Amino acid sequence: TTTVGIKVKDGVVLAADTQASLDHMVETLNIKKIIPITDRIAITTAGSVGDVQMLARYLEAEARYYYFTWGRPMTTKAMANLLSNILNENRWFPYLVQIIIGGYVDEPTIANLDPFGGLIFDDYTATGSGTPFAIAVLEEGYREDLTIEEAKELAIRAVRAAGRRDVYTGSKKVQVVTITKDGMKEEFVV
Amino acid sequence: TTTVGLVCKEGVVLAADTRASLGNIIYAKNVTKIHKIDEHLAIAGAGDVGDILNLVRLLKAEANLYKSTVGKEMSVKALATLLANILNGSKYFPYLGWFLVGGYDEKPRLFSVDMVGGITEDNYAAAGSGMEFAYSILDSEYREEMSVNDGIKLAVKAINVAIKRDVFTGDGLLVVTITKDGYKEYRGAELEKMLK
Repeated sequence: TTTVGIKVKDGVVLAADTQASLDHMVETLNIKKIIPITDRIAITTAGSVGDVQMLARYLEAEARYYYFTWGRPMTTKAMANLLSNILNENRWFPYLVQIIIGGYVDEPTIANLDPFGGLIFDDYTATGSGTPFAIAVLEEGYREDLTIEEAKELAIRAVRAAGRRDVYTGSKKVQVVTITKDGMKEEFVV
Repeated sequence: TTTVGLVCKEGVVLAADTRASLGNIIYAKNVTKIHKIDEHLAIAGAGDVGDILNLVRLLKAEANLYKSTVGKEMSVKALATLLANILNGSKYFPYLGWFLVGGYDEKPRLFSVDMVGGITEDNYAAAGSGMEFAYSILDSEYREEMSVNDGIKLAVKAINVAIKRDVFTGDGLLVVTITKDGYKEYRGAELEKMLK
């Protein structure tokens, strides 16, 4: 797996490959690793699929509850902290996940979470077995003044670079989610 | 890695992918995993590249020496036995390799040799991380007395399934045929043409 997240002025971009591996076997080349939580926040998944799906359901419920209680949508920062707390509570029986959370509620936000709840807010980040390859591309290509389109190109380029060199990352299809002030858009690039 | 070997009517067919990996990293995309030992002998190796190449160099020299001391060419079985003896001799500090030994002496023959020197003679065999995928194709489609041409097609099909489903197999293909006319390698465009 390789997933990347990029933050720019007009929003955030999340991208991921679509290969699921079980040990040394390619299980499918058609899996979705970016899961929307609300209409303005999404997470990427690396690690245990079951664990991430479980956490996604949990977060979705919490986000709804928050909205009904406070009358305003949960911010990305709030959700990232909530997720960090959940992960840290389960420190001794951890969810085996590496998650990038990205959203645009009040401002564009990207954060990286490790299995124990370590939370890092960043401009760009990557998770999964192909991380070193992807990070190298992001490091070279990232600028704060990228447009959303340029950020999308960069994210795809980073995932593809990993796909070419990491056996656990697919090189066929890339899932891309962009979140701007106009909302969320998902596409698949072959 | 996935390697396969088939005994066909007029000769033996060996095929392998060309990916070398180091842990999860694709280290090289165009390596040769089938090695010519003599004009009528080949070995396909899966495992540690250094160990395999070391053995290949040794076997090439031994095959040459055999020719000049014995006065005739080494048989396929002799090569497999020699390889097995070397492997078994170092079983407590083993060469990390799994081998298919193929060739043509009086007839086409194929042996698979494991890490500690176990030999089995087969009509078809596969070795490497993608061997399960290759075997499922070979088991259902191999026929005795099939032509070398059909053999090439089946071998390529088996490797391609492994390329698709095994993460440590990929990138390209090399096919070697050994008939009474000698040793031939097919790859890239030339191989594509053979498959039509």
